[in-house]
Amino acid sequence: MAFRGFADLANGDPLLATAKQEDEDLAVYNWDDAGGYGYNAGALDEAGDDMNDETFGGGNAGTDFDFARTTGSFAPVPRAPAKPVQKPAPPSGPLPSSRTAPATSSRQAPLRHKNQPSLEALWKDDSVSSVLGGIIPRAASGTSLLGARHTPPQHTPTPPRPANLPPARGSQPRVMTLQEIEAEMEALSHGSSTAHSMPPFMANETHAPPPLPPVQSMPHMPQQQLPSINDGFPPQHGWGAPPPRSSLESMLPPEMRPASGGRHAFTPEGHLPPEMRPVGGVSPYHSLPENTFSLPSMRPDMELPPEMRPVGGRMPMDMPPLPSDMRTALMQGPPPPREPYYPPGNQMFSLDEIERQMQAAQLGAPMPPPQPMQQQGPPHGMPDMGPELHHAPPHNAPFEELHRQPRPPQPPRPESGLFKGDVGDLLDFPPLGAQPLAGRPLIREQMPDARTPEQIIELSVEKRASLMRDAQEKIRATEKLEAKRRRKAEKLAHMARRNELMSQGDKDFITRIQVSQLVTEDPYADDFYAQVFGAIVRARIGEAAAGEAVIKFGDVGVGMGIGRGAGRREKAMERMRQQVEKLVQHAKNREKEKSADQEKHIRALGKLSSRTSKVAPRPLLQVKDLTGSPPVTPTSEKGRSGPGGDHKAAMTQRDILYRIEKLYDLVLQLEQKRREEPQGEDKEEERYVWEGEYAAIVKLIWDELHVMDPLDISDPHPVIAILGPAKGKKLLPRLLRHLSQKESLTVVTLLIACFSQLDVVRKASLLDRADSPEKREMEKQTELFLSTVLPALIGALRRAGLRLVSGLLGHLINRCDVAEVARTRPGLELLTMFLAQAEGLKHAPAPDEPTDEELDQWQKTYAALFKELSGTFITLFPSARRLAHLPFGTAQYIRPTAADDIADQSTWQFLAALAISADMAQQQHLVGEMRDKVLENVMSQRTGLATTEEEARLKIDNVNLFLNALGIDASQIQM
Amino acid sequence: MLIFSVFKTLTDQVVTVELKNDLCITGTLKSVDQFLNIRLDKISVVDPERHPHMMAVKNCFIRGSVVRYVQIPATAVDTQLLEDATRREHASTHKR
Repeated sequence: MAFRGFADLANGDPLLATAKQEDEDLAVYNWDDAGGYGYNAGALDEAGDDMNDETFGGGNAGTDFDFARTTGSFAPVPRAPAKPVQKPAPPSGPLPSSRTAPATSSRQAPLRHKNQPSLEALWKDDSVSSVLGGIIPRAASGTSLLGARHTPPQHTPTPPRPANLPPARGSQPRVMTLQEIEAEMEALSHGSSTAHSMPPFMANETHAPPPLPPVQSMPHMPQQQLPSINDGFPPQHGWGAPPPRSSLESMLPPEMRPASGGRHAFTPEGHLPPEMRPVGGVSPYHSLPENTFSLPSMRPDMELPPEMRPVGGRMPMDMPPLPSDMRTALMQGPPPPREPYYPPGNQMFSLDEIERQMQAAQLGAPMPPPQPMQQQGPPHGMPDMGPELHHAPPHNAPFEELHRQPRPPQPPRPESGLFKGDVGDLLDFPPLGAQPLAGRPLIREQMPDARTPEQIIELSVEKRASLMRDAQEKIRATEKLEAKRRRKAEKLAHMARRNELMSQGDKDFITRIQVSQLVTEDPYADDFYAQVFGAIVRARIGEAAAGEAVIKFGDVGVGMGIGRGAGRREKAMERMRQQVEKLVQHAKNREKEKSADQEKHIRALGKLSSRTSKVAPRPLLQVKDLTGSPPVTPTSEKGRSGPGGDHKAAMTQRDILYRIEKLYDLVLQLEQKRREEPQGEDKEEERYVWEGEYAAIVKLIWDELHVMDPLDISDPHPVIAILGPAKGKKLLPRLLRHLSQKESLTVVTLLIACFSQLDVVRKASLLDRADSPEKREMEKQTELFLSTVLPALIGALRRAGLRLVSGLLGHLINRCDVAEVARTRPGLELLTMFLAQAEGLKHAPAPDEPTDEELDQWQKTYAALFKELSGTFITLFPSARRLAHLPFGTAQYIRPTAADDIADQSTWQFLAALAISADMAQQQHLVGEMRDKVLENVMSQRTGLATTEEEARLKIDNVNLFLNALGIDASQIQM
Repeated sequence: MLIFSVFKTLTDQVVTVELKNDLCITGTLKSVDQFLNIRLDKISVVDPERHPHMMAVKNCFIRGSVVRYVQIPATAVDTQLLEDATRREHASTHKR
């Protein structure tokens, strides 16, 4: 319905405008209901009445019409694109006129005024009359509110009109049957093209053609119309006649176009649209803007607007349901206006029917009605309104407003004295009034309204546009934000999976920190093991870097676990190394500053404890420092104080250990000194200083070693005691390395002189006994001695001349039980070494040729040795000693093993060495003693007693070792 | 720092780390830091049936504080040097 009304407006002609006024009346009611728009209403109320006269008077009407059109043009644009508006305009013109019975509009208004039921009531009630009545009153009030100024005057008269109006409309409605209407609707709906839809209307309405003329006349009429309205409204078109139908029918006519036969009817309709625009324009426009405002906001939430609009414009079918719902739900105000229209047209129509009509109208309307509306200007408001009304409340509001406004104007007119003048003018135009009077006046009213509205509209349009833009921007912005937020959340969720994991960057960071804390100024101080170990490893590998003794970060063994990887990795390592160096430098500087600061603060704040940047785990076990005054060989002190000034009790184990540790510290210092040995020729001074320091430490060691103590000072001698523990044995060779040759020889002499005091000699018998922890320990110690001390001794002996060798051996023979010493492996090895060394020295080349004296001395010494050992040669064999310790009689049952043969090997070697140096008598003696042993071995080898080839070979080899020294071979032995 | 220093020389050696929860992990020592946090590669658990969840783990980082023992190859340690290092550390701490 609304469409039709708009269409009428679209026709744009003043007549149409007037017609619209009628519709507007209905709309006005809505306004009342729409109370929400109140601000406008309140302002409009009565205050504007006075102005109405002025506005109505004169040629304002003409401008008004224009305004309406202009406004219409503006309005539609923003809201809903004028669908068929522009083109259909011409055809629509007639249609609207036909639809809206000129008189009907005016008539309706009054009716409505009479009936003041609530809009809701109208909706609910099927009876159009009730609805109308309800609407009218409201319309009146609404008019007062909205267009008080403009409309009131016109409307005031309406009360009387009602009676008149009904007839007119009634006639119109009469023309249109429900069926017809339905047919129209269908036609409209079916006929997508406006043109098609139009024909049906035309046919049915027949009035359509007439309307056009009135419309055309309208522009001219405006002024005349107004007066005519006053006069005409009541009497016009014989409202009195059709009054019965009155409200209901009158309502219908606008919708029913056909019903309203005369041009008047058309004109009113035609006017209506314009009125709608102008009237609505003022208030409606305001409302519109509001609506529009609301729309944007609504749209996003509701989504209805977009759908609604398109649907309304395109799909009439969809529209119908929506409008009803929308009206009821969304549009409190709007619904009533519509109803009034419909009901007035056909009382018969139920709301549903009306709705259908509406739908049809909308469907078709777009084609016929829309055209007019759009053309004039209503299109702006109207087209949008139409679709919107059905679909979206906001749009409806405007519609209603439009309708309402027209109505109000009418009633006020008659009532207001001010308007009388206008009325009088209007009266002068009676002829006009007879036709579409009502419409004309309405038009005028609309016009004035329109003007102001125009501005408002324009403003509103601009505002609307800007608001729309703002709203869209806001929406866009919020959408953007939302999208951003979502993306962020997504990313976070994605990353959350690895929340507890370290990235490579994190690891590198920590590594760098750790490394920075590890790198120190003195790598040997805090990283001794790794550094020395690395050096040893490199030395072993043979790639010892000449000048680079210190392992730097990233080198093997630094523990970063970063292998030599691809080039990229090495680059990374290089970079890291640089960073680390920087960090270290910073740390150093900071420490220096700290210490400097500390000195300043110490006086003021007391001592400050500061930790270095090296964050080592705090040791949980803190043992009290005992270094304060360690018991410096307390026992030895005691010993000194004991009897015999030069004899002391043996060192306690604790003393021994303590001294060993002290020696170790000194040795380590020496070794460190060695590493710091200045290199190069230009460092003479440094070297000199270094040598001084080095010598001082060596002196300390010498003193600590107590080598010069009398041999008999204690048993064992302090030096020998140090060799007791394993670490003491290990210490000796390292000590000797730093001692001069003379010093080392002195030590060696001491060792040999006190050889029998060595633990490995004293407890050697343990090795011949059954397995026991002590034996195992002894074996270990023996092995250690053989691998550490003995080589040191041999090394020292190698530098000795024959005289010294003889002297040392003599020392050994004199001070020790050679036979006992010889029964130990270390002793046997030492004796062998003596003999071999002497044998070598005896035949040394020219420069070192031994003198006769030396040779003689040696011979004497050897003879002493041989004498000492003779008779016990067999006991020199470990296997023999082992058997001797077995219970009696068991020896026969125990077969010698390969292990025994291996153990005997050193003895065979000693005997061989002894045999070489022996003279004939000694050799015979030796062979005589060894005969059984040799034969035993040879027999076991020949008779196959030796279970394995390996064993046999060992036995023969051992025998041959000895026999070869004598100049014979085992194979020569005749069994 | 001493033990750390020793462990630094043990990189690329196969060691067995016994944790305080009785989990024994054998693997190639990749790195150690001053907290004796240990990184192992190519690991295997001594008792895989009791620790099936370790089946799929190929390398690991062990916090130093959860380590009870580390079994290291004897041949990879220079005992003499270790003793000396201990002495040095002792000496240096007492000098301070």
